[in-house]
Amino acid sequence: MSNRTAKSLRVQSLNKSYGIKGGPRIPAVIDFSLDVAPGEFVTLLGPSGCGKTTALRVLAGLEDIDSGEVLLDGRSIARLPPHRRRIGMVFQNYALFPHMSVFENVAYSLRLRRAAEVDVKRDVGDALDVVGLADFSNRLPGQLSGGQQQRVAVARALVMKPDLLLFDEPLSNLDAKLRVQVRSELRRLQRALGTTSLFVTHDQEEAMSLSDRIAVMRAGRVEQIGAPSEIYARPATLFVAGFIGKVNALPGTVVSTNGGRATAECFGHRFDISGAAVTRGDALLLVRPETVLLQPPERTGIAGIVSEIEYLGDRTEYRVRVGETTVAAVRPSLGQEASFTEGARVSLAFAGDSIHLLPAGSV
Amino acid sequence: MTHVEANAAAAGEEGIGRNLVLPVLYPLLALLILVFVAYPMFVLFGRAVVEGSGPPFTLVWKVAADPYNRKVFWNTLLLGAIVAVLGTLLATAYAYAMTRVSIPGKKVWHFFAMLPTISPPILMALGLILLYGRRGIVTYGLFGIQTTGLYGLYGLVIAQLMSYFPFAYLLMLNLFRGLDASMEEAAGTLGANAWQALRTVSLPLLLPGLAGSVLLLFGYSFADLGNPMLLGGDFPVLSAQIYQTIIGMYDVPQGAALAIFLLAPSVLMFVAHKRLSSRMSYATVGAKGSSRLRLVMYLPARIAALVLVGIVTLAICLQYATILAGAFTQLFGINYTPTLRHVIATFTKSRGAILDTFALGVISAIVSVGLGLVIAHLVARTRHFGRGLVDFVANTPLAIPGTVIGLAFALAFSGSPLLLTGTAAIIIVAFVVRALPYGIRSGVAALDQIHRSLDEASMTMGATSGQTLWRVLLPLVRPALLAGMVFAFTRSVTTLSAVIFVVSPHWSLVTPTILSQMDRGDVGEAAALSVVVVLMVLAVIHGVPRLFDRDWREVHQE
Ligand SMILES: Nc1ncnc2c1ncn2[C@@H]1O[C@H](COP(=O)(O)OP(=O)(O)O)[C@@H](O)[C@H]1O
Ligand SMILES: [Mg+2]
Repeated sequence: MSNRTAKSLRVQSLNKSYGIKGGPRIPAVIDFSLDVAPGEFVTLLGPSGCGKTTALRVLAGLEDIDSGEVLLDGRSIARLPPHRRRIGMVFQNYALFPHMSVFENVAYSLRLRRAAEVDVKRDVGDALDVVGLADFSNRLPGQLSGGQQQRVAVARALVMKPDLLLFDEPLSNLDAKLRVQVRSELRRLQRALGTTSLFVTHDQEEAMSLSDRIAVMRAGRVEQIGAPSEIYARPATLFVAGFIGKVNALPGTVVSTNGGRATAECFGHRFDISGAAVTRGDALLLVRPETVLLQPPERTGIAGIVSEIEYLGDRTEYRVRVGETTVAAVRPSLGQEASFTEGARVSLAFAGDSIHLLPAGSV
Repeated sequence: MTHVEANAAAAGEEGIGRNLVLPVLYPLLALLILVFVAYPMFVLFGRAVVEGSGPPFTLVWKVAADPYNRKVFWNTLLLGAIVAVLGTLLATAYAYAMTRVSIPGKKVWHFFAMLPTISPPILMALGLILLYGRRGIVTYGLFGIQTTGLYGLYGLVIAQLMSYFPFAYLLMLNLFRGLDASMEEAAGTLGANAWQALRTVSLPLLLPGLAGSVLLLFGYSFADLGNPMLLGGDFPVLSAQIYQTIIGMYDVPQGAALAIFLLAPSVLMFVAHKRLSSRMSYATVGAKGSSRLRLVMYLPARIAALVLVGIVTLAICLQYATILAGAFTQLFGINYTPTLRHVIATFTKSRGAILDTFALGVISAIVSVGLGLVIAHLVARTRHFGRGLVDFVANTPLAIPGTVIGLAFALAFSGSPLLLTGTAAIIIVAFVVRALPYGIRSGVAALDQIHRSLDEASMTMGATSGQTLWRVLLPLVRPALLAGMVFAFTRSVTTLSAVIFVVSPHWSLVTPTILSQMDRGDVGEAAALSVVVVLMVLAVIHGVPRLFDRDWREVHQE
């Protein structure tokens, strides 16, 4: 069922607002632009209510847009009704038809196209094979587990060989273990089929593990688009940094810049930072807790006092007070590691290349 | 019943004051229900089955073999089938227009569609006669035709459609609103256009509801007495036939036997409905979708929808406007001089009927909801022996046409051991028994508002159980109980069939009074009394929540 002719998606300056009775229109998606290459897997990541679902629904044609353009393989689809877009969607609640068997659910799009019975049998069989549910074709959706329902929903969307696949938090109704398992299956499947896909989630780990690229959304806008590692290492804003993992945002000053390098001062120490694009003056130094080194107080570094320790099994989180600021640090819980007690004096150190600089005003 | 029982497992033995009240209350309650629900039906069966010297069932077979009775029976079924099918189609189209199509004025369309549900069904016959009868203002006044075409099957179909389609509309409205929007949306993304999505996804999902609507309307048509008595003409149906047999021919056994033939199909319909809805309701798969469906904007669809609701609303408005006019006219159809005569007569001659109806309606509303709450609590939150049976018996009146219940009451309580004929009690009991299933429903709804943790929380903060009941539980359950009372009141004061055999000179009611005024030809007084009863019900429906619920809402808004 491989899709050799994957399509590209281009979304340009999309705006969508909702009218509330007797009130002003509330913008849900603002100036949303996105390019997805053929066969690429892009995730929209953001907190609840930031407009992810709205963005997907607009692409599927389930909501009218206020302005903007949607191009699929260069052709505008913004004015087409959903049933003429060839965009498959996996709904958050799966939206399986409860009165149809698994087979008929998957066959639905083929039946609408009046496909020949042999083709229906073959295509539905293939799709159910792909998701590993060949033995369940006669069941009703109500007789399946959550994970199985989810896979039927995927098979139903796949069987129509869509130009674009949309997933609206399809894993959020599964329990934690299953979520991880289905996640990797989904990724494998998408790679194998090569269908251009747009996936929505509020779970940063899910986004990181699945995506070629992530678009982080906030209050209706795209805040940053990039590969997972890039977004993690070089967040464009404090919001992105905080949404993808934990981060220390330490106040500092850039004292000199030189090409891609900068020297910043923080807690009276100087750090040589690479890949920074900031001007001199006040700045925020972003330091991930796992890159903070905790050392005995006699070592050189920033002096602080351990104010809180949280033991989390595989790792231990420390909060260290440095003057007015609290710095978080994470250590793997290894038996032999020197552990610090609350109230202990410690010395902190960061490697310069693990620091990311943001303008002081970034939020 | 199944709903209540399902809660029982989850809720376990918990609730308010069970140690104190229930052991005493429960046997009493079971006894009440046995005496006032089960016993009258046994008496009715007894009168039909064992009569005179012959072997049992002699009379039933004789009644069944009578060709005229057979014709009446088939007439009843035919009328029920036509009303059920047409009414369901109409209700579905109306509900679809109201929920899914972009049309203006929805509040108005809804209000007028609901009006018949709070009026005595006999009003439809009255309005139709004034409009299209022998001296009808449309047929005779406008076109000069003096026709009896209204009397018979056609008139009955129209009158019952207008009386009862709103109940089906309400049912379908809730079903359309409850449809998961993502179903049709998913169909859309899979290539279905709006019509295909409706046909292949939504309508199949609504199928149990459509069948439910058919059976509901069947039941209403069977039970209707007022319209067949006024409009039946040469198309006799069972309910009117029973009335004629008892009141006209004083043949109680024959009437009881006929009642069995009215009861049997009703019970069948009821059972079919229960089984159908339990078998065909698809459990929602996965979580419920949150989005709402977009309204249909397609212009021809909007126009068609508007025409449909407009015509139906116009027909209903015309009925009520005519009745209103009739109330202020000397003799509608003959002498159109304006007069206040009928209104004055209503407040003098019929004052007793109005006051009795109101008082007995209020009392029985309170009693039925109170009993309903106790039964709901008993069934949902305790494990007393036989609670399922109590629930079942208390709910059986849903399946029994009013005429049958009324007759059973008249027979059961006309002599020892329980002589109630001529008292207010028999009317109250008839009202309560008929409203009890709805009382139980509102009780269940009320209990759903209460979690065990609520009264525990209140008590840990130092409240006594009395204070807890008053300050925490009562405000929570009040809206559901008030709604239940308003519904019970409406149902009681608008029914004719259930009370026609139990009213007496001491305790007269509005609906039988209207019927006898119509019989006498006092169209004006009938119209005036009809206006008063509709206004009374409207006042209760809109007044009660405002009177009793305000403080509660204000507290919650703070
Ligand atoms: N049908 C609607 N009517 C009005 N407002 C809506 C509707 N759907 C979503 N919204 C609003 O639009 C914003 C974005 O919602 P949504 O796209 O569902 O966010 P997400 O999927 O990221 O949680 C929210 O503020 C939400 O309240
Ligand atoms: Mg969402």
